[in-house]
Amino acid sequence: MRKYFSISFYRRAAWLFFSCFVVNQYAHAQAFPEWSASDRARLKKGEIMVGQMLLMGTPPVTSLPSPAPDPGVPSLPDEAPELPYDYEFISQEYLDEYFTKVPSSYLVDPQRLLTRQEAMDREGFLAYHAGESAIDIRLYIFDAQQEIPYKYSVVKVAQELYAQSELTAVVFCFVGDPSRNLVAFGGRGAEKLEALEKRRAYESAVLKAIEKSETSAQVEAFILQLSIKLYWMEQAMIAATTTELIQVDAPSDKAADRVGTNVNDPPAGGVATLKPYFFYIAVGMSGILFVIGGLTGIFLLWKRNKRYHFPVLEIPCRLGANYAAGIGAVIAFHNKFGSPSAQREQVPDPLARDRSEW
Amino acid sequence: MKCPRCVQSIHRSAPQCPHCGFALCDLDGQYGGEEVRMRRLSDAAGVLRLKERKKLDKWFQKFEASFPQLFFSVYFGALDDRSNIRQFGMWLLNRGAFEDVDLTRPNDGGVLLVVDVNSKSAFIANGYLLDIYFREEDSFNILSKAHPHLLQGNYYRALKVVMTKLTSTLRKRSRQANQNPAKYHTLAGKPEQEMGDILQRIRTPREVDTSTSRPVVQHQSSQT
Repeated sequence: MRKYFSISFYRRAAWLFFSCFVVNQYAHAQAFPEWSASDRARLKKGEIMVGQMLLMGTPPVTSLPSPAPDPGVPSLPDEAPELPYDYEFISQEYLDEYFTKVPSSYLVDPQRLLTRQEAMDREGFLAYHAGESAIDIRLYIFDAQQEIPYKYSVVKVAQELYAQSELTAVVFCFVGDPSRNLVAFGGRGAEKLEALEKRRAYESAVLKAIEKSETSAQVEAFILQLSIKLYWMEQAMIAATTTELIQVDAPSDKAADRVGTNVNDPPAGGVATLKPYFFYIAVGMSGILFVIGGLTGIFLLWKRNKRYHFPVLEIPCRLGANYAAGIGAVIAFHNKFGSPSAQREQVPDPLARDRSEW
Repeated sequence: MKCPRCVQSIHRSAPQCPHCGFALCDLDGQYGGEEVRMRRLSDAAGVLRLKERKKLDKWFQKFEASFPQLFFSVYFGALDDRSNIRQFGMWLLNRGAFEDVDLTRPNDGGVLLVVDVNSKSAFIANGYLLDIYFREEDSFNILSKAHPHLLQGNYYRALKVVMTKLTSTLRKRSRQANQNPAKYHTLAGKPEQEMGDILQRIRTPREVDTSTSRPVVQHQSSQT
């Protein structure tokens, strides 16, 4: 008996018993649903059908109840519809800002054609230019295809709006088409500017702007080049003013000095200015000529006294001559119409043997 | 190198022309084998004035000052029909004893201009010193420059042009020879000589014999 029921046998039997107990307990805890008596009665009557829930579609979604509006938060007003933008015509409200009043800034862009950053950059440059130059720049920004109404023009704006202000260059800048840009000068002293200089400045600025491909760069290049040209125009004006002052002062001084001479004589030019330096110029030129002449004389003297040697080579005697057997050219000069080459004699002397026999 | 008689090219050291058999002894038989006393400027044809001769003497001295190894000589003559100007020039430069040329300047360094007013031709001969450096084309270019004046019979002016052109040409050749001496050594085929050799090449002092001193034209006439 001991032989067939060992300890491991008992262990296995106890483990099997324990497993059956646990399964039984879990089966009782997860029991399958059961029909209730009323459902079973309705099933028998045919009122319900097994699996009906699976065969039916999605149940209808019921809408959520809308929350009640909060009386403490005001609602946003409805935005007004944006006016359609016209690429060719400028609306009346912008015309007033452009042409009826002197702008407070150097950049006039009521249509906001430039971005905010671009507008700040251009405005900063124009302000810097106005601080450095006597000729301000007022930059009016328009779109590339916009037409200026006939009753307004850049000349009219420059002459009417800036008549009492400092000398100002009014620029109508068409963003995207720099060839349409317009420049006019107004303010005090505008009449002294030469038309040729103004034209050159305008053409130079337009050319610089056309070289750029990007619209903002075109505007920047245009006003930059115009600023440079205005600087030179300003310098020319200063020089002209100085010359006028000298010419105004000169006759009075000479009139006081020259008694009995005609005051209306034309003033002496550059020669009179150089007159005090004639002595120094003459001395300098004489010195230079003396040095050049001396060097030339030394060179000629050196060349004249230079000795030319030939390396002495051992030349064997030929034709029985001890000193000379070098035969050069023979040239005849009996024909006045023949060239030297044509009269070069290379003919042998055929009668020489006969002569030796004479 | 050409033979003065047949104008054929000959070897630099040919004892006689391989084409026609010419040698200087042939000319000795015609013009004489003795030395001929003469001056640098021999105007046997009488084409120069005294004033012009004096000026030419100064030019000769200036030429010799620039070229210590060389001298320049001119012979204006009227050769007879049997004389060949090329052969006569060669003979004269070998047999001529130039009285007014320093003995340190042998005939090797001589440049002789022969103008035959009879046949109206001019010729330039040179000594062995310039054999390598002075080419036939150089002499032709020099004579070509003087050709218009020779045509007009203005021999003084022609001689002035010849001397000017000759001086410039020789200056150029001297510079070239000193800049590239190896080239001319190769042409000559022998190494450069020392200064002592120059003295050896100076001809032996000539004995001036007034009895034999006579112009070349007279010498020719005596031969004929």
